[in-house]
Amino acid sequence: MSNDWYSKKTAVICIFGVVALLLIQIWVVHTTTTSGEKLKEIENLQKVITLKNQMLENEIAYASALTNIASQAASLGLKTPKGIQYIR
Amino acid sequence: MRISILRNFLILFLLAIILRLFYWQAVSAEKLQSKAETQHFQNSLVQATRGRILFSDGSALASYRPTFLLYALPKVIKPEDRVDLATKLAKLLAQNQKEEMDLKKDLLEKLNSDLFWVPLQKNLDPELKRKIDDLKIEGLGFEDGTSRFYPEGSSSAHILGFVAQDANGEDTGYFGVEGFYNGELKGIIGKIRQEIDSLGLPIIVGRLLGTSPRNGKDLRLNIDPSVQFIIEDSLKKGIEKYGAMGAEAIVLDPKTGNVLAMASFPNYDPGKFSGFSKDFYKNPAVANSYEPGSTFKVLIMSAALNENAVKPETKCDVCSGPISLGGFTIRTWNNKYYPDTSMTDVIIHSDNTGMVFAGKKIGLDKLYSYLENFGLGKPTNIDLQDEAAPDLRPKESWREIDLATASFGQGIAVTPIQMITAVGSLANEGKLMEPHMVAEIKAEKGSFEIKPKIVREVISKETAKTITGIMVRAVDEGEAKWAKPKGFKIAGKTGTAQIPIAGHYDPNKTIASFVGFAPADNPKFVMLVLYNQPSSSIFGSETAAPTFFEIAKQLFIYYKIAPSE
Repeated sequence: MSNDWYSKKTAVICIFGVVALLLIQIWVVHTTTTSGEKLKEIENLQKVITLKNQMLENEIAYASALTNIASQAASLGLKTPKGIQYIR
Repeated sequence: MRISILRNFLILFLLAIILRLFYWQAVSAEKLQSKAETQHFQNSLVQATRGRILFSDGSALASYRPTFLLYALPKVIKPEDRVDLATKLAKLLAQNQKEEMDLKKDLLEKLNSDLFWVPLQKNLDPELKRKIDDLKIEGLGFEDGTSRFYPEGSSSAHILGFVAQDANGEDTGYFGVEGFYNGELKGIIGKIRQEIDSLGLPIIVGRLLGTSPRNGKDLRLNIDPSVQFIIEDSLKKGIEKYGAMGAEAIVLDPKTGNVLAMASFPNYDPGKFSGFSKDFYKNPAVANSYEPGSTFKVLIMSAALNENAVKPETKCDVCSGPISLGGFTIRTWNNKYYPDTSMTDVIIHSDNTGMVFAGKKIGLDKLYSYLENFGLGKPTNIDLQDEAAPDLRPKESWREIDLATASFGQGIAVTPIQMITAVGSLANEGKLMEPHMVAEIKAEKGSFEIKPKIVREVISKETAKTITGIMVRAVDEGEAKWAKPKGFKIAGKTGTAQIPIAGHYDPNKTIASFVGFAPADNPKFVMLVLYNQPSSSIFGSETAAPTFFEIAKQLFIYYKIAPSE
């Protein structure tokens, strides 16, 4: 009797163990797959942000170039001063 | 009987399985392994960016912009769709109608090729990529890349050089800083080998191998953007005003040899270099030589003073008229002669006969060694690609007439950078400095500063002070005195050198120049301005000198230098 009970208990534990491991495996596979997807998304987002950042930096560099500032100043009617008076 | 037939069948079946397994696992193992690797692993290249080139204040002179290479997979695109695709792409990519026709033809040829992968167009900007993406056409793809971006356009073109593809299709710098520092600026592409799942997504716990990309190093130049703008603006106006074929200007810090500004015209746009003639690519300030003319007199006179061959008050006893030498006649530029003139007045009046006297007093041996010590005959080692150094003829080949003409800057060739470096030594207590474009090389982990380098002491501190005093008087009392800014002590010398053409000098074609430094007592800058064949006037005093003083006025304001007189 006790042997029967013992072997039934062992069988149940084993079945639970296998089911638990199966569930853990499903969870791990799902997590790594979706993480892989998230990683890909983050990588793509990083690329887009880096690209936008560089484009903005270039726009700033272009706008702050002295040649462009000078032509904008000229179009606004600003002129070079004719002389400087030094005040002692 | 039936059982034995079944048994035999099962044995044969098992044998077949074993043989098939042997075939897959032993015979085809390598092929299947490589196929599995292709499925399980993704190899990708990670672009490295080329290093930026920065002005002294950290603002960008050359940067990079993200671009894309458009490619097609001809075997994926249906033959009946290719014409329509070529038409759509040509419309988006072409600048004008004529280009659209040629481009469509070219694209169609590529789409019809018997290749798995074919590049269609490179250097597409993100906006164009988005438009092509919106077409949602299967069989097209993009590869990331970068291309050079010059926010200042054609400004500083000769300093920069440009980037083009070499024979291997790799971005390489040519001319200027891009060429000289190509090794530092060039990045190293990274390679990543990543384990992926069946959807092509990365497995975060999977194997990841490879090397990270190494971006190119940034270079911070000594070039001051404001000073660069000032000289370029002044030269552009000067070329128009004086009707010159070209112009150059260089500004150095005489104490360090740092190049604060350098400009040459005509120039080109390094971002669109292929649209310009190759003749424009070379930087004349370092690559072209010229006969310096009277600006050279200050160097010869400083040599004579340093050797005590003459003193400022020494009288010239051959200056009462033209000098005949070896079948040649040496005259002054204006045919005016000053008997018993002092050495100071020789410089003030730019007297050729006085310089012949001074040159003879030093003698050929000593004069030749001073020429070498001032850096003639050798490159200055400035960090720009394509520097030239005209040869100094061997001393043994010099005749008496060569000594005479060299003393007033004819019959001898220098580059503008050699000239300004030599005059810079007069402003720096006699010490010749090595000129430098780059101040700092910045890597991802740390930076390296390029320190000033003293080449040698050419003349003594006392001689430098004496020649400076003479040059100040040359500016105050010489033929360019009318243009000098009031209240400032400027040391300088005009030069008008006739250009040698087919064995003789053309009297109507000159290199008009002015070289000087200021403030004379504590020089902040040394500058050379040069016009190539000005037509309104051939003289340096009427072209290069006014431009020099105009730039100097602006530099005094910029550097907050108050008048001293």
